[in-house]
Amino acid sequence: MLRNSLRLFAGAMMIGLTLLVSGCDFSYMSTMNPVGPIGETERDITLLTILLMAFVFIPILGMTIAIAWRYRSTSTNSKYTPDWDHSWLVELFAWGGPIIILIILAVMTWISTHDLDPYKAIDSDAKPIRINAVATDWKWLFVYPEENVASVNEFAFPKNVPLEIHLTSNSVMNAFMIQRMGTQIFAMSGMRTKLHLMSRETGNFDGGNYQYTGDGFSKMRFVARGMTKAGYQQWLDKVRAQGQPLDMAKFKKFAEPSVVEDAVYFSPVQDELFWKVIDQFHTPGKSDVVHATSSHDILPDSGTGAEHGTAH
Amino acid sequence: MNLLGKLSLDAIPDEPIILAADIMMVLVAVGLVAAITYYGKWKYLYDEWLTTVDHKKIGVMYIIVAMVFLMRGFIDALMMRAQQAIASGGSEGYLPPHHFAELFTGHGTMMIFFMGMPFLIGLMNIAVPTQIGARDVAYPYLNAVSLWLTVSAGMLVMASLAVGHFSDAGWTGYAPYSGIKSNPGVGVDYWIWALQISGIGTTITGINFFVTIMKERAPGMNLMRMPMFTWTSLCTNILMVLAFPALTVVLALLSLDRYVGTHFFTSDGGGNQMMFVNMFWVWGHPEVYILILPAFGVFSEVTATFSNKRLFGYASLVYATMVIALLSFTVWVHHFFTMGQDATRNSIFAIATMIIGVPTGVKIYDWLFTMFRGRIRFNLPILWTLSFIITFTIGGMTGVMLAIPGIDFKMHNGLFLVAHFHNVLIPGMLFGLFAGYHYWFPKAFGFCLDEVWGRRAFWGWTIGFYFAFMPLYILGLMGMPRRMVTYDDPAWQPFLIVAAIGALFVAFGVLSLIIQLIVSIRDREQLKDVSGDPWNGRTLDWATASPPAEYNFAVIPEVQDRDAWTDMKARGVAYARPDKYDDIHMPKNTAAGFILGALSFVFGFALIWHIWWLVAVSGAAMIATVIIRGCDDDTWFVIPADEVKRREDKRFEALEKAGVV
Repeated sequence: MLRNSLRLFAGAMMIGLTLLVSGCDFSYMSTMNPVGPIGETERDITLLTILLMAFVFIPILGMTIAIAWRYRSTSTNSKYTPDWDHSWLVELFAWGGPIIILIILAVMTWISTHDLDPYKAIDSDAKPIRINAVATDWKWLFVYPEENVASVNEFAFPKNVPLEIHLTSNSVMNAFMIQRMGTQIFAMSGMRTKLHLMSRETGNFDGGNYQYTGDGFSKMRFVARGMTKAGYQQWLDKVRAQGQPLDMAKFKKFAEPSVVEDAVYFSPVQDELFWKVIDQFHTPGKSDVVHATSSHDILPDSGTGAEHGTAH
Repeated sequence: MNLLGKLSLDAIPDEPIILAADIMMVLVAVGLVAAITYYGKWKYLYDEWLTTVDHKKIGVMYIIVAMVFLMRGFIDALMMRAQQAIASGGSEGYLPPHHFAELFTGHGTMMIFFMGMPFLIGLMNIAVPTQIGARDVAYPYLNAVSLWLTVSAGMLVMASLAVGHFSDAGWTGYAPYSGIKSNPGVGVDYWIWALQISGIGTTITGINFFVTIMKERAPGMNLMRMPMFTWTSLCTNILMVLAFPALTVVLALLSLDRYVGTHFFTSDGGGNQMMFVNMFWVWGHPEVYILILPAFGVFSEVTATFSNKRLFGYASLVYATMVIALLSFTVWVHHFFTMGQDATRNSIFAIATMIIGVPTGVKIYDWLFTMFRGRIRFNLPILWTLSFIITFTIGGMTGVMLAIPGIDFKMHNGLFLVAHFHNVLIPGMLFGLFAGYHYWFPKAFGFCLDEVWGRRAFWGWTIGFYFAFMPLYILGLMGMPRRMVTYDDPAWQPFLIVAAIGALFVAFGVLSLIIQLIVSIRDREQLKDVSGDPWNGRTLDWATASPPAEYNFAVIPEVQDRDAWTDMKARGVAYARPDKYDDIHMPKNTAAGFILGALSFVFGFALIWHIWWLVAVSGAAMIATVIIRGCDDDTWFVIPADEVKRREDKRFEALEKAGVV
């Protein structure tokens, strides 16, 4: 019975392990197949952590199976110490081992978290491009304020240029992520969050909303298009040529709950549309937000850190 | 004025699947009523169960509730797995989005609040008072109130299936999606009031068992002689008392937003949606440990008992439990690393989270060293424990991964996260609860559970777990978000089909559990345990009869060792007849708990449907019930010494006949 049980158990483990090992080809795992510096760092710490954790898991797996087998009640030739319940050496090992791993992980976490701060600009010689992302029910509007254009569910950018993405939501809480570029961040109404990304490659990458927002949630996906410099210029020209003008009135109509399958383009886009979307949620006059100047740098960020402003 | 508030015939769902489920539910209810009437069991049911304040019976009822909701929550899971297995590349599957959303919301809500919580509170009820040598809990009447509040909250969730609909906002109910603007229906209100009512029950349980453990221990049982399950229960109760108020407050503020138009969590009017997330997880993370610590206690009892060996590193385990309980309040921010805090803040909460891995690791080593140089009997409880150790360690590893913001940034809200928390809660909580169920079943009923069907259940769950959740890890790495009703990427489908097959294995496990119970009741004479100690137990719970007399111990035992019962057996004083018996004071049965539960159901239902007159009436009736019961001074009765002697003589007669003494 026991032998059979253990054999079955080992079989189940093997299946789990096979499934895990089959994951070693990362090309089909978008989050492990990065195209930019943020995603690369994230992949590296993922692999490093898995490796570190293997040092914990494999001994425990081995010890569990070995001890359970060796000290089974039917094996009477193994040692039996019914009253042995304490050993400083074991305690030292049990507390010390995890503490050492914890220290390694903690150092790695502190450094990588500061490296990967989504609010931190990416080091590059190229001038960053600003893109404002607005989550509506259930599509993404990407506004390019410097270009005076906007697109829906198509997130185009040139490769090797840092992107400074500002996010907000026109309705409930959303979460923005392009798996192969890395880092997810919430988009929330009445607030701005920030995210810095960059791609070293051209290509089409999946992106989407990760926070449940209702019936159209599953269709709220978009495609991120990494382009060459020339390709990006052509794309801008196309958007300018095909785009409809977008102002706040039109935005409100567009933002009503719906699902958009194909990309939609807007041009020109009303100045400061992004902030007007945010301002909808603040009552003028008795606002909780300092709104003294035309500078929006002190406007409501979701963060509570000093650099992120404390307007909320 | 509309006397029925928002309630009308439109509230009856028209979707065929839901309608079929409603008809099933009504048929089961009618069948139950008919059966009780046919067998003339109403009086028995009322006297022995509905009005009881006996912790053992209350524990049994808690576990019945848990089992019912385990079935419902699992059916939800099966339906979700089926939907995702087919809804690929343009296929819409068989479920509309809002129904799918109600499924994942209901699954999470039911499994946490109406399966996990009642199950562990049920085990606590059955085991803790007997483990510490007490005759009952500190507040027996409040114990009944807790039970019936939990049942009434569960009934509200059941009612949402037939009248109106349940929430679609996820079990976490994030604002502003759960606000009145995005969610004008009654679904979120069902969720709110079910959680509020059961939450009050849980808070009372926490107070009750905290006081019980602190004040009702047998002489000689100092804190460091308490059984491990009692220790972990103590920590869980402290967490319940400290954490649940945060949930009560966040739900109260959300209901103010929904009912009277305040702006605590709305997008506009100065509301702050981040505060909902923040406050929810201030409760939510300790809740994880509320669920898991009692199971850790079960594993400790089981490992020592079935290894025939003292628990290794008792002091370490006590400190590790306390450290986990304390740290559980310091890590809640890791549930929203992606909300835009600065890196220093995220790092601090990330490292705090990893620190919890240290005491948890210590526990694993202590269990392993308890088995080391033991004599392990492979009964079902230890099989659950072994499967737990290996499976849970994987979940712990992915937990450490998710604790690192740089990894969480990619995995948050994805299936990797879903795989992780199932990977800790299924082995960590559920396997522990199953081990405890098998372990203490003979204590509660006087006969053991069938091992063969138990093993089948075990393999169904263990194998099913790996098939169902390992693919979800990979899907998470492939970038699949949670809660998708349909998806375009065809590469995801094979993994979701494997996961669905895994769910079928688990279904076999669930079925085996049902069959095990039926078979065990059928064979109860062969499975009978007269000794009260079928496993060669080590703690005082095994010193009583199975099932214990209503007073548990005719004479309160003197505790001289941590493994009090093993020690008594070694000293030859186990089963020793006392020189004389004394009168025993016991609490009287009361209908007040049941009435309060029934009224709170009506109260909650009326609030959900805005039937204001009924809110007033049922609310006033609840207050009246509490006052009337509070004015009743005649709540105790005496079992005379002669009667105690008569019952104990009968027990010893049976023990002698069975050759135990």
